[in-house]
Amino acid sequence: MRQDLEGVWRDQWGRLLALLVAQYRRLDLAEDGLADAFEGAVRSWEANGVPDNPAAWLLTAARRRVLDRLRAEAVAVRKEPLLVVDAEVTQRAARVMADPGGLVEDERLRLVFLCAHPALEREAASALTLRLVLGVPTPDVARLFLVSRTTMAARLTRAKRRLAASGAPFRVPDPAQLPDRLVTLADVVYLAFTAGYAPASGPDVVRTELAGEAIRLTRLLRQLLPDQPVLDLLLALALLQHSRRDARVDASGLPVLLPDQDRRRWRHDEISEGLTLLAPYVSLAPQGRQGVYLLQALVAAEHTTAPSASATRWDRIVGYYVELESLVPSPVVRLNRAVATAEADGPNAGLALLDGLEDAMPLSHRLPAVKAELLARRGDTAAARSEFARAISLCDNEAERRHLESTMHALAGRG
Amino acid sequence: MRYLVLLAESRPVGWARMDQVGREVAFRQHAHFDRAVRERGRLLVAEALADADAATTLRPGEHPRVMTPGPLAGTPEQLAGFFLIDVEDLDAAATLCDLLPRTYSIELRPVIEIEGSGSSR
Repeated sequence: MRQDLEGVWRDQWGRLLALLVAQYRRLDLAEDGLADAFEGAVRSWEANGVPDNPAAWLLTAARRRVLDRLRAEAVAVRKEPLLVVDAEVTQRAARVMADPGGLVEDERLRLVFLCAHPALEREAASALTLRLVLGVPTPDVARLFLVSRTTMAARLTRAKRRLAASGAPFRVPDPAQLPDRLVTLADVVYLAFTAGYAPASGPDVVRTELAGEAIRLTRLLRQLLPDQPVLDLLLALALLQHSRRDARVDASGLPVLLPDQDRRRWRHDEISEGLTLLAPYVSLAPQGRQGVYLLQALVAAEHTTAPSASATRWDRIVGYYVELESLVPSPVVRLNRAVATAEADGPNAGLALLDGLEDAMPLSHRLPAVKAELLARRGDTAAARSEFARAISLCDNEAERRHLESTMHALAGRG
Repeated sequence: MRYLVLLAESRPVGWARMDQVGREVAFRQHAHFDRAVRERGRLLVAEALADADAATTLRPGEHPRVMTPGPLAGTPEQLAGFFLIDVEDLDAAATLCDLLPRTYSIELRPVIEIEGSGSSR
């Protein structure tokens, strides 16, 4: 895509889509119409130059497409359910459509809360938010969540239908609901971030860039909703983790574990931004779902500020995980706590925390991988080897599996 | 939007085991819900249901249908009552349901408008 058009896309997509949704109350038509308008712009702007007001041009073009489709549907039998939209919002949108000089910010916030509505499964909400608020193309969203393009397209369609059918509103939540909905929003955005951050098969640079999209979304949300601690903490956490991206994969696409990463390749500007965001919250007692973000950010901060892997303050990290486990007792948190505990107090202490965890996470390859590592560390080679074999059989990520195999072979050489 | 608000309770049904004070509190919560719905929208129907033991199910297939004792779903939770409300959207419905006793599981099922049937609004 042309540079100038891509800039307009990034700046205007979410805003224009929100206006179309407010006016026509149909997510599917709004999305298709706007995508068509951008496609038309590629050809038209090439031939005639960029118009004075690109956003107005796009809005007019998109509106025309939506109206065409609505007219075609008027003769069709089945009617799609309409979104619940305030009559006043519809009117205001209509006024902006007539004079798209000053586009409004407020509609975009409504769109965000609609896409991240708790009436959707988190992963569907996450995909829909990337697609509709940021305009990330469906194939890229599919790649991010490691599903095929058709699967993702179907998932997005279902999510859009469900929002209309369930009566999820296109509005900012009531003050009483806002704190809860903000945390749901943070969860949805963080899921989009971690989907791109988790190691993929091969050197998949695009997915790392998509994790960056989640950071862009968080920045946008902080503009739209200033002074919300959970958004500060979300951005801090995402930045501290994202800052390590260049060092996490080697030249051949294999994951590089934290202790082996070249710390000079971390993005230190992002680390300092993350730490600055985190600073006001460091001494607060972590509470509720917001506390989960605080504790995870504190863990990430310990890693990024340690001068070397061996100088990491594992004792503090263990403390954060203990608190985290008391807030959200989950097997994944227990596993992370065990890893940290093994670093602080030795492999036996770590292994003791893993007892009985198989029942809670029978399909996870991470659990046997961690066990194998800790068993090997205490010299229990035979048991380590069988855990490695188990981890390899459960791991469906190519790059990670190769890493496990090479570790197991190194172990075989030792034993 | 109209919603059928289905209240379900796990068995044994809490009501039967409640003491006088507990019932009093539950009554008040229901009254509070009634009032709040009417302020924000419309309360079209409100009914409490007899215990699931009193239910009879007619399954598809044979005609005349054969009566089977018991409720439709064999879940541990059973319907205790329902409302038909008309409020602006899902968020409003959920906020209102916060006023009801916490022991219920609640399903919010939108009513669809069928054009030309004359039943809508």
